Amino acid sequence: MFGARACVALATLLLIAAVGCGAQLHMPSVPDVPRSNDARVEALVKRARTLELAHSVTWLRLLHYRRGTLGGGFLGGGYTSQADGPTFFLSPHGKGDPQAELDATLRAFFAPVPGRSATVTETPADAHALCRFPARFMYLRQALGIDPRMLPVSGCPGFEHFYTELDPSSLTLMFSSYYLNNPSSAFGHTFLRVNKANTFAIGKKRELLDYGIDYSADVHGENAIVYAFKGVSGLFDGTFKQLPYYYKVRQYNDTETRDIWEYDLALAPAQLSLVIAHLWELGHTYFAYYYLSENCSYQILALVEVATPELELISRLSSPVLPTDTIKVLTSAPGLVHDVRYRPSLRTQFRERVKSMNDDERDYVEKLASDPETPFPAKLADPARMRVLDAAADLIDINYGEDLVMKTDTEAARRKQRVLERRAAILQPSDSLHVTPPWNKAPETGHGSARAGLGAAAAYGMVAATLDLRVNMHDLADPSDGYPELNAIELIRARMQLWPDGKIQADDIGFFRVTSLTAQNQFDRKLSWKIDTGGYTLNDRACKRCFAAHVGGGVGMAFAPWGEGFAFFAMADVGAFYAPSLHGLGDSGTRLGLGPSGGLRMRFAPTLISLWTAQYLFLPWQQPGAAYRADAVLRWEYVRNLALSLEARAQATAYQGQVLALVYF
Amino acid sequence: MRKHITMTIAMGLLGVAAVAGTAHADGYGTAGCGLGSILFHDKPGIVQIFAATTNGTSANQTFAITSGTSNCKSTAAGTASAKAFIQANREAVAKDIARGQGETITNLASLAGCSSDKAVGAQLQRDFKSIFPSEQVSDVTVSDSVVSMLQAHPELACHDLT
Repeated sequence: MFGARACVALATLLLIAAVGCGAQLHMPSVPDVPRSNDARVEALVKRARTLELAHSVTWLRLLHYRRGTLGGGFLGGGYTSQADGPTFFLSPHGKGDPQAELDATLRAFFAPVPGRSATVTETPADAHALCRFPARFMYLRQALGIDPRMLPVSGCPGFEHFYTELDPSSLTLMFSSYYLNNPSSAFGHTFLRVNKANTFAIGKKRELLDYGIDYSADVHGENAIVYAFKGVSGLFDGTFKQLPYYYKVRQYNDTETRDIWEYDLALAPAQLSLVIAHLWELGHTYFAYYYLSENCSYQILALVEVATPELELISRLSSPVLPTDTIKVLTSAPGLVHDVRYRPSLRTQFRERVKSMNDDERDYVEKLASDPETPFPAKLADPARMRVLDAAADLIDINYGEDLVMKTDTEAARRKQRVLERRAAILQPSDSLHVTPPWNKAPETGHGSARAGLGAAAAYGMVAATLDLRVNMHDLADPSDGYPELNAIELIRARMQLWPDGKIQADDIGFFRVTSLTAQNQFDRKLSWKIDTGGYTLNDRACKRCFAAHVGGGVGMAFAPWGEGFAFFAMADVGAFYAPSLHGLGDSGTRLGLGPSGGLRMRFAPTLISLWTAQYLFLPWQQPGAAYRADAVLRWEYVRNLALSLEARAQATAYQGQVLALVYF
Repeated sequence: MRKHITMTIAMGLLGVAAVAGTAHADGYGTAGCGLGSILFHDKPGIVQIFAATTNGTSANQTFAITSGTSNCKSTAAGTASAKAFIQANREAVAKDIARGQGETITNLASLAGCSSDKAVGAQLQRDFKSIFPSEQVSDVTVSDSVVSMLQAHPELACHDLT
């Protein structure tokens, strides 16, 4: 508490201590980086040059300069700022020139306050460089020992309001985990939480009232194609947003039922103030939003990095940037994360509620969720009734979450209303729920999201060299820590083979591949599904050892009656193949098939997993009439991020065995 | 190189977006700071799916850093922010009121400046039927009722409600 107050005081002091140095500076009204008439200001500029502050880590980070990206630094060592809003720079050359920007910033700090402001919402002082760029000021003041009495501004109402509203005492980096059943959360999401100083008002944490800081693209109803194109090519503006944390909890924990992992950052009060002040600076500008590289996770990390000049964070990321990558960078930076916490999703809370119930109670939960008038037998005591009604309300929320938020006149809303009425009629408080964090599923415990491997394959009476590459992220045989147990998502994977007969063969290419298994249980009847785009080598009578492009998918059910370590599934598949040499439909190169598939996954240990899958496709009116493929994998991660994989495949005219050494990075 | 990878992935995601489904209906009956009008506003479902898949969930301009005071943005103690809190958390608040306790009750009691979240929970539980006479009451009505209930009980000492 004391530290928190001290840090509010610090920030206010920095800006408010400047009382009494009115307009003693007389600036010539030249628009282009004017020199100051005040010798003291020019002395500061000179001193900053001598100290080479323009190329200090903190200055470069505050201005978001990167070396050698397209633009000023295109052909060599120069710098370009990633910020794109023109008002982020005080020098016309600021985007590409750290020195010019620093000179201009110092001069602007001492420029007189304009008589009136450009907009109605801010005061003249708010538009002054000191109020616009409080983090730059904090840094330069400290580095140059600027005398606050020299400054022309005595307070910044806008910034102070912002700071008071946030009331920051610490920062937490939040990871909203992936949940493949909802395609919108496939890779997870990161944002920042600014923890309020005064969150223990009545002896209990009230973190819902903290603020979430999000970096996101500003989208205005574009259609999906335009949207996707703009998203990857940086045509959207990305901006920082500040919203009450409860919106985040409701959206992620409840509506999307995603668990949230929290990483408390160990920042000193001065570091915290610098981040918050810099957030204010960023709030006035925008960046080109690149979905796969300079995305939410990247920019949130860039914001944190401002306060930790001794740590390399952003430079350790490689494209594409996944939210989990930033978590790994963060947790591996020495001393940066001092605590990790877990906020269970509504689904996880529900599982905890029913875990300790007996079969009768579980049956009542299920019945109440569909018929809220289901009577209780007289022998069911109040505590049990409360437990059952509480779980039933959660179950309705899980099944109809977004529906309930959007509309009030639905059957789901009516059921929930009745369940809650019955619950409220028992005038006793429920026990609060405690969920033990599943530490082995924390994202930083997961294997690296990219994969490469070397190995050998035996087939056709020969032995080939195999090369395996995957951009990201996880398949069902990969080590399971840090990843959802029964979900796989792969973006761009390729397995190439070089055979002694000189043939280079694409054994298996995955462009986008998702398998989402949901084990059936009393409360969750969700179907399992998979999608695959890519291609693989066919071996049947019509097409021996020929590579065919493939788009396919399947829907079915998964079962894990003894826990998620042992799961099996069956699906109905459709698949389309293309290769010039196929005798497919109308003897064309296109083959269409449909048929059953199934699989078995055995997790002996998080580091030792065996996966068996098979697919049989009927090929009506085509040659050869049917095709099958069966695969078996046994994969063992013997050291973290290093695995051995034994794989076998059977097709109509060929069997193949492979052994690979895989490295995750 | 990066550009190539990026474009390739983009094409792939386009394919997935096509499979993933069509936009959900945009029927929001509620006003105020309700979750529906604030978070899911102005975005067809497919865009939302793509946005979130690629980490670009977008919130509306209410939450710009520089937007200053807005009822839906403030979490400082007071009536307006207590009402905004109830509207946005309506589904969770309803459950916690029925349960007589919970995280939203604790946070609400704090926003309203009440002396005990336990007492607030017990009182609101007794008032459940008045606050939620049917499932059709709007978020705004619910928030007005809860605040009136808290004000009607001086023993709860919710000092920040005016």
